[in-house]
Amino acid sequence: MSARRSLTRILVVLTLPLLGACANLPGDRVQGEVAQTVSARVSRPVDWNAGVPEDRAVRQAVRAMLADELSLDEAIAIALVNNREMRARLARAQVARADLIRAGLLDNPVFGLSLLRDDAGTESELSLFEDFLNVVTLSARKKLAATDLERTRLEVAQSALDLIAEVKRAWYALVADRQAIELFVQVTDATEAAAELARRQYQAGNLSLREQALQQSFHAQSSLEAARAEAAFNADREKLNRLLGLWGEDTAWRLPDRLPDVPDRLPPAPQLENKAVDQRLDLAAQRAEVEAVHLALHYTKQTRWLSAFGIGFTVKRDPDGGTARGPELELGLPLFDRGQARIARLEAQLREAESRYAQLAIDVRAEVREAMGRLAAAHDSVRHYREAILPLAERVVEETLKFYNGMLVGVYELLAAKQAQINAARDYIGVWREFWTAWADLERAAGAALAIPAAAGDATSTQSPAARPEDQGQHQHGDSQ
Amino acid sequence: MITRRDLLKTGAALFAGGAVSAAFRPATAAEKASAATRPPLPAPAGVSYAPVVTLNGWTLPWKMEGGVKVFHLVAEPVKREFAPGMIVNCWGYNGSTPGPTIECVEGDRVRILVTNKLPEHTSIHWHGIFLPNGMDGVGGLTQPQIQPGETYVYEFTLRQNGTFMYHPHADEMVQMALGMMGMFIVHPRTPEHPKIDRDYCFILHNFAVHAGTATPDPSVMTDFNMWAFNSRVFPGIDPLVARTGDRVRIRIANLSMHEHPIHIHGTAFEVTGTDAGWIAPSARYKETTLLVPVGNIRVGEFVADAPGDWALHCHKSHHTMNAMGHEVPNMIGVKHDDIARRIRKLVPGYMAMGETGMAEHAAHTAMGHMKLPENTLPMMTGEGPFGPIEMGGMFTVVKVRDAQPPGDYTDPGWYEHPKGTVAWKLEGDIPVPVRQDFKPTPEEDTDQQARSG
Repeated sequence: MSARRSLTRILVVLTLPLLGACANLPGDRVQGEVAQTVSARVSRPVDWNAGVPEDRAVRQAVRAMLADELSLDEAIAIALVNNREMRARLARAQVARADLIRAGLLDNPVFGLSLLRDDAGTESELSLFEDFLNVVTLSARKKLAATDLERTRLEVAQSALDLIAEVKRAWYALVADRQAIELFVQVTDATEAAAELARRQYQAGNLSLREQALQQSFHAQSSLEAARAEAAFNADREKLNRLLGLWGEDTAWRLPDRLPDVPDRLPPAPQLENKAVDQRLDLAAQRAEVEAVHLALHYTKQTRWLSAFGIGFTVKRDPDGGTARGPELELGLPLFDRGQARIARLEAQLREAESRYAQLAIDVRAEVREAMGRLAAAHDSVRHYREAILPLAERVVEETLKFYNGMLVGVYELLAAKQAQINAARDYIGVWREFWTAWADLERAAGAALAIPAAAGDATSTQSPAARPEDQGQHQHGDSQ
Repeated sequence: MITRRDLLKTGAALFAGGAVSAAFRPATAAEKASAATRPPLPAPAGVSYAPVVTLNGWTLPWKMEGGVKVFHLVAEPVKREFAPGMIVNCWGYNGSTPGPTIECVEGDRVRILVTNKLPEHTSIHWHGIFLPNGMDGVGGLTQPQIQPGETYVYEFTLRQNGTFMYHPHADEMVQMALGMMGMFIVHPRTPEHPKIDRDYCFILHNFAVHAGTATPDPSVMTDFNMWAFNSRVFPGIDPLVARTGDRVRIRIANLSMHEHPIHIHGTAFEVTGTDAGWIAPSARYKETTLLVPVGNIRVGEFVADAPGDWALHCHKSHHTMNAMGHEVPNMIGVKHDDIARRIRKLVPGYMAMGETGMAEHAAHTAMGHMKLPENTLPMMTGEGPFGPIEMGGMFTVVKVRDAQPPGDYTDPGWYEHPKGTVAWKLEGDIPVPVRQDFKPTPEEDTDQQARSG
């Protein structure tokens, strides 16, 4: 271009209207598009146009959702608008959008004016020069930028789905923690009662110090476990706070009592693997990447001979008043760089992108199968707990109570049986949580939300008696003492 | 292929819905009837004796074949109601444990057919009876084992009179632990003096029927929980009935692993016999507690001269109890109602027990407040005319009545005491009793102070 400066050019105005048309596209249109993509896949409205978390309306909406029990849906909604990393990714999409707009613009024409004064007078030269190489490649660049935007848009949408999955996992973990804490407290109650009983037995002269110490050590141990459970709960709570972008007084939200009921049946998942390949946005993004590189290669091949191409017009006035005018043409000669390096580079990039795409598709299929396997195993475990382990643990307590009634075993054995039942209930919460975690992972792997089959009755509440001791058993003359 | 999962499912199904296995089904009417004391078989023509009454049992009928009394015993699995609410999977003879009593007269030629319907071989030893060595019934030693389905014949002449037993001498640990036994009574050919009016017999035995189960555990050696007269436990044992003035004989055999001091109230035993026959009158002695050694028999006699309901029981107090745990924490004097309330939040239905003793436990189980394991009797039970009797195991009552007809063995009901002959509650001022106060020496006191501090 430096060569051009010495030339006189004339004005070409034909690019001006184009410039005006593109200049003020709304930057957050891309937000709406990403929102639409995400919304379609999670079957829930997503609205990023409402504004940033610092907006009053958004803050009020978040506060309202935090006021009562924080449901999973609310947690997801809050994370989507409030997670700053998510906002950052949306901004990244807007950057890509700006790049697209930029790509649709021709380079501005260069206007040159020179006034050269000597003894003879003043020689003036006016020139206007436009680099027409970028006019020739305009549509190619626009297509490339559009593909790039598409890729970014998909990546951002996928990251929203990832965020949703992460929020789900964190929320399930936290509710499970909370349920487990209740059971730890129950075990602590049981060991505390036993320790106190042992203390009184010792005072009455009925128990050795050794046996008393044994009961006290059980209690000390269970207290520690309860404290650890509390610590795990607090750590998991902070994880969710981070995901939800909450700080300060906003962190004082409450949780529901229990995890959602596990459906009796698994969702029918035919062809889920193939669907995942269709639906996964990161895969689509990688596909867009392949396409972009492919396009770039295509256009590079088309324009490989064209390294410089400019047209200008110059008006020159001599000091003597003579005027000369004429067009100017500038053309690069492909003597040294005939584009072979650029093409080789893009061809390698294409192979890279294609391999990445193929590997990602394999990964997606494996992820789907793995998540389906985990979900089925967790579902089996949940049923096994409901149908066998929990009823049997309850039966052991019932029968131990009968043995206690017959003075065939002592109260410590009864309490130990109760502890075993509570521990079984705690393990049950583990598989219960694993079911929903696997569910979230399967949805993430499949790239879209799955419909939960309607549960036939609230089986879990009646089948997990240890989790809800007040519902359990019949009071056999319980208050006569 | 059965997977572990299937097994677990089956296990769950087993426990679900309160399905009761055959082992725990209630006794049928026939089974209950079989545990009641049956009237004795009258003495055959030509001899005079008081026929023996088998407590909660019966006497085996016989046929005469060419001057030989022929009996037929069938060794087989049986169900026995130990007391209402508990049925035990036993082995016995001819449908019962103990098997029917064989009753003969000295000099009888007896032929006893033994059919084996057990799942394993057996044999019968005639405990205390003098007979040809090949009739002694020691499997492998004096005869081949009687295989399942086979019938063997024992034949011998009774050269003694007295009190004997029969029991297997094959896989004894199992077969006796499951209740295979019976009594063998041989009356003298000439009438006895003084004449016996009522002649009772029963066998002491122990079983390990763990709480919640129905089959005796043959691997238990000494730690039994059911202490039985003729495979019955209180309150399932019938009373021994007498008319005032009757001379009563009680023949007690012991097939258990422990000796039993059998104590009678209101009179004293004159010890008249063992499993080796009669004790010479000059050597007989009296005692109120007849210690019956293991694998032995004692015969005690008394004149029932005092009307009333007189206890007859083993004097080991844990033998007059039904199943009880031995590792139960001692709660005597441990106040814990408040802790019980907390435990009840975890285990609804839990009740504090043992603080004031165990009597309240008996009261609760009697009133049905507390469910017990299946097929398990309360450790202390029984209701008398004045309240809970709080007994189990080897306990029954000798009922002496002025109006009990001769030969009538039916239960006359509770004794009606003449006015002023029952201990009464003192109302008003209670005299100051003489008592000792506990004054520990300082050295011995340290432990107690530590506990109360």
